[in-house]
Amino acid sequence: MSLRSLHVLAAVAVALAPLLQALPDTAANGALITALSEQTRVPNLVSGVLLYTRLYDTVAEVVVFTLASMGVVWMLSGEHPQARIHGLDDPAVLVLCRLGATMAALVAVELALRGHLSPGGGFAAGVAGGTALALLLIVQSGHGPLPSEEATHRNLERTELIEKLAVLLFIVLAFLSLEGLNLPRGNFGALESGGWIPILNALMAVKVTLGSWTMVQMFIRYRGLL
Amino acid sequence: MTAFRLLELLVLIAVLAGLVGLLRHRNLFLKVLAMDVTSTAVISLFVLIAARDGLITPILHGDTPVVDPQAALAYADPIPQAVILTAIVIGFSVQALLLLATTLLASRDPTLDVAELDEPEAAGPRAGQP
Repeated sequence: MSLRSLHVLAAVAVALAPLLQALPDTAANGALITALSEQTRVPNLVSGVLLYTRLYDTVAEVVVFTLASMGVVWMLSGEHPQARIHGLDDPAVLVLCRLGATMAALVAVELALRGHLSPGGGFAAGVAGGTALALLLIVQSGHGPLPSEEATHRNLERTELIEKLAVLLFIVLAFLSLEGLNLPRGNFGALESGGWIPILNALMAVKVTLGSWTMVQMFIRYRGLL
Repeated sequence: MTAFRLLELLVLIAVLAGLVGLLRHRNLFLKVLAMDVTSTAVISLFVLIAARDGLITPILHGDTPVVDPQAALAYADPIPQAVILTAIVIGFSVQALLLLATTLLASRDPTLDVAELDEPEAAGPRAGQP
């Protein structure tokens, strides 16, 4: 048997193995929901799991995301930026991009601030915020000359500084929460309830927004739009 | 076969498609894209498992954290959802980094053929150059 068919056989075995596994009993879910809502004290249980019961995991995840965005910047820093970028010039598309950016920015704020009460949370808010900034970047890059190399560099450094401050603050607050130091609990379902969870959500939103924006900015700057 | 097993089979076939693409494609760029197919399929597997117990989004309504255990049975399981949420973000950032590494490699060898990239530098297309 050739090595390649052996590869495919191994892939089939790995992919279909979960079908043979017995599934756990579903009746355990009711007790789990009750226990989680009493532990985390926030209505959105997914946010509660992410930022309270599995916070240790989330800290590592935030660190990995930061390392990836640092890696993108580092790998592209040896390249030459594009001299000029072919931007969009269709007026209808530009208006739609601006409208989309405004909507996405508003959605990002809503998702970050109320992520523990309704669907949302830091990651979703960060992706919405990153989309808003990326859409603005697409609109701007079609107009006028590009900002000078130094201006972009300074801008990028400032963004990275804020992003890293947000990450460090997130880690410090997460360790306070892991050590059991908690804010007053507040009323269930109120904006200022749930201990550190709303603050951690907002910090995560800032970090993911700036991180994804840095990546998109570097890609457009060094690879062009189209 | 229950409906859950049937859906699980479909999702696992998508996982398999990604894995086979990852193993069989010779082009590095297509390998990276096949990896993304696998990761998306695994995410849907987790969503499917979370929805096995119930379909209601695990967001409570009302002013108290107390849940009626009977009503709680209809909620989806929040743990797999939270676990896979981190995997989505990690997947995005790893994908960005991998695609960047691939484009950097493409400036050395535009075909991105894995067998050619594995050859030692001296035998490559830029033999003798720094």
